[in-house]
Amino acid sequence: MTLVSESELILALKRGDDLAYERMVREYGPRMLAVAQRLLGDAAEAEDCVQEAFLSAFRNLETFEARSALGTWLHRIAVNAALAKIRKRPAKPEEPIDDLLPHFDQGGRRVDPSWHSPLSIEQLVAERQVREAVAAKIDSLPELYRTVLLLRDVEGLDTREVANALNTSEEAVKTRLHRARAALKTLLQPLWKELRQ
Amino acid sequence: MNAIIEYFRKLMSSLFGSTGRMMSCAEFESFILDYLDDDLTPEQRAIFERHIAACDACRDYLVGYQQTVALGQTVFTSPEAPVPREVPEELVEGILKARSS
Repeated sequence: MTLVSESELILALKRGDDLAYERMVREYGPRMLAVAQRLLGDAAEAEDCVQEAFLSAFRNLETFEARSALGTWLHRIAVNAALAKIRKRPAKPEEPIDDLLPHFDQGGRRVDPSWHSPLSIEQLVAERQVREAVAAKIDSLPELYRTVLLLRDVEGLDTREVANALNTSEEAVKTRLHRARAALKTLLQPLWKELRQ
Repeated sequence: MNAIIEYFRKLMSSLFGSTGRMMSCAEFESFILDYLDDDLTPEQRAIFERHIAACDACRDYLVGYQQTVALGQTVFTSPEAPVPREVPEELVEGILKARSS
């Protein structure tokens, strides 16, 4: 079977074509696995999540009306499947990240090193070394902070949506998001020195 | 709504008084998220921006903070974002088998 467009793939899926299902899993699976891995931080759990997401997608294919791209729809299902897994996790104590947060002197004046990134955002993102470092530093954040940062800054959920998804308050989401961003900034700081060398 | 506005008015008054004194860097820090989300009142925004104008360290910090947010946003959404080349074969088989069972 040769499928040349997404609309043809969707029609084939709705007909129950086995090869179309396989193509969907192979074509869209890697990105779903990437987002599940990012949110869950565990390879085995991410695979489990992708399987559940695909089965949910299969069950709901009839309702897919192609208002969004198939990849976008599947991505959203994968995010929701990951969030369902996160909500089922036992509550963990909040890991302290105080060392990564800004510091102030007794008069409330900032004593952090200056930022001075050597390149523009566009130039930074174009550098493979930077992309890998940013991804690794986000992965290294404690789960509570990483999840909020990914949902707000990467997945584009608003504060209320994140609070609902994580069964917490909007204030808690805002506090964690700010700390996560501040900690990530601190973790990225040494990278600029390396880039300048 | 009025109660919220009144709360913020009192909060800002307690922080900065009615003389328009400058906020400290530590106080500035606590308003960054709301500033970037455009959730500050005009009065709060004016006080925040007065601090940016006067404080090199916080101006530099805010640039770094905004660049960090932008990097986080783009690193996973760019076409070159790290994505596995393929789904493990056992997972593909597991998904397709679960579909037909």
